Amino acid sequence: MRAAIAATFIAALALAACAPDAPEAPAAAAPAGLVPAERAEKVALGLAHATAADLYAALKQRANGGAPLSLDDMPDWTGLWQRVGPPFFDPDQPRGVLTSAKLKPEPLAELTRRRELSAQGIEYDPISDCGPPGHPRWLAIPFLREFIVTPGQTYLFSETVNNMRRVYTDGRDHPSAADAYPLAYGDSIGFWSDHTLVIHTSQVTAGIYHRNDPQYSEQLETVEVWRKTDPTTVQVDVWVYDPVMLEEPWFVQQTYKQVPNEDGYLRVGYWYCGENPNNAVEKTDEGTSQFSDFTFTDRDNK
Amino acid sequence: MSASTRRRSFYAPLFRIGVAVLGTLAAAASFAAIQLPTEKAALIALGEQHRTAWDLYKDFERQANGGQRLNPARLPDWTGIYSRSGVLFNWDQDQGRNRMPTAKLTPEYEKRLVTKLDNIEKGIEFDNLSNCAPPGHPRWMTEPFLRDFVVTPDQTYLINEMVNDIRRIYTDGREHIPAADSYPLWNGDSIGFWDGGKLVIHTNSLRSGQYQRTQPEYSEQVETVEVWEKVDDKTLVAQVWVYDPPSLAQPWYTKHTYLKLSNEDKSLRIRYWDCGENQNNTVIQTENGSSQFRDFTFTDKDN
Repeated sequence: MRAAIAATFIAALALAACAPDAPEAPAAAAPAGLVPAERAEKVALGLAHATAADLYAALKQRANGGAPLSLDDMPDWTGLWQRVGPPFFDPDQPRGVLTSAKLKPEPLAELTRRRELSAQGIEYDPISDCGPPGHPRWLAIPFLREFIVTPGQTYLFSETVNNMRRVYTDGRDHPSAADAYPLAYGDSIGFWSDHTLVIHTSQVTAGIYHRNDPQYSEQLETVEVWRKTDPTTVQVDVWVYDPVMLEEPWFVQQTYKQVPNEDGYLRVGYWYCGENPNNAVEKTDEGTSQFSDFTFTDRDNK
Repeated sequence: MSASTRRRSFYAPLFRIGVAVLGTLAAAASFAAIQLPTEKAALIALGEQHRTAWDLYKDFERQANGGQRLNPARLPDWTGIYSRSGVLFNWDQDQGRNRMPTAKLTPEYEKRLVTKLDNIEKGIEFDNLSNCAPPGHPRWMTEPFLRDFVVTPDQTYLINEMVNDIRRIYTDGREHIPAADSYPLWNGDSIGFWDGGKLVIHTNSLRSGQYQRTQPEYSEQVETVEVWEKVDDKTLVAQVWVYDPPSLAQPWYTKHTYLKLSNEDKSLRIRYWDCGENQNNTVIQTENGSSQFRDFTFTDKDN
């Protein structure tokens, strides 16, 4: 058997040595120009389109429909990643600013009220009771992430409550309106242009962008443009459209840095939120949080 | 067209055919290393010939000359959505309608199982899953619902939609976490290697649990060896040897089959499983070991 393997190996080497010139790979669709480089222009790009679906269609047209990934030429997004920035949906939001989103009056008043209550210690977060953050909040939560790229589907994973977004890049469309209903992570379809992934997400459940951020409605839709900008950085341009809550599309940029893991010791395990009894949290009548079947006593501070 | 270009055009198809033939030969020569018996009795005996799961795994690794890193350009196609076939809640399909499983249990664990089955017949039962806990491995193998299997060169993800349950199999050559740093995990720590189309996995660092509701329990010492292979266009088979000295008098060999679901219009998609979304899932264990919905009392109107 070993002789057969050796003979096969030598023959393959010999054939490779006299191989004709490989045909040049077809030029990949250049991502340069898919989206502008400057933030102000990206904001303007969002404003130039009435809906997320319009922006997605425009980007797809600009990329000539995109090009399916081939196993011969896959982007390397392996490894473990973590988000960079403060716990706000917009990492570039200046300190002291309520939000960088252009909110409609009602959600603006609601955010103001929530922030005032929060300052008094009155706060409830749906993930306190082990619910999923949902999308687009998924983009802003902490802890480890993996981005698993396959030709027909990209899996965007965050270890918090094991939430996995599935982005279909095999040409399928969203479910028809008759079959669609709100989902924590919505329904995501996308296309590749070179090694840039463009995603359109719809069908989300209503939620909050982060604890101290605005609410969003079920009408929210997003367009994301993902690319690896250097060996340890993945950047995502995000345009959020939500006609119920936003006066205009909200552009933010998220950054994920690869976590050093040379010895391979860092591994993502199953996140069982309910394992910690402190996670059984209920919302009280006044809107704050209370541990289930658990009452603090004055000894708890000792 | 220049003369050299014409030569390249003439030779290129021959070259591709040659590479394909040699590739196939090389694959056949180097990938057919692990030869599993076909008969169940021989597979059971194979387990018994090895003292531990690790011994069996290392034997497979030796047979495969260490295995091969997957060629990124020629990954096994395990895409699609699958579901477990057979009698869902039997760890071993050959148990059939028998009350007791095919495992050779130690006296203590056999007694525990008999007690559990007696209680179930009286309606006294509690399952950790009722309270949204994950099944854990090896029970993961037997759970119902949708699955997908994501193969990448250095890591394979075995996913069950139920409670978003993902097993990660490291095939990049890394070892298990050292004993000093390891602790029981729901899905343990899994390393593996590829031998042709076979994925061989060793899993340790597991929590204790049960194989299924009407099946035996296992201890934290449980370890498994799995050999996964796609045997036809729509069938994935996992052959599993379980070693658990406290509960098993000898290794337990079983075969698990996962069938690809028809999804031509691609409307079937796996979504996030929010177990707590359904308040019926907030279940607590009562003092007599049975189940009760939290803050919820059935009345005679509920019927």
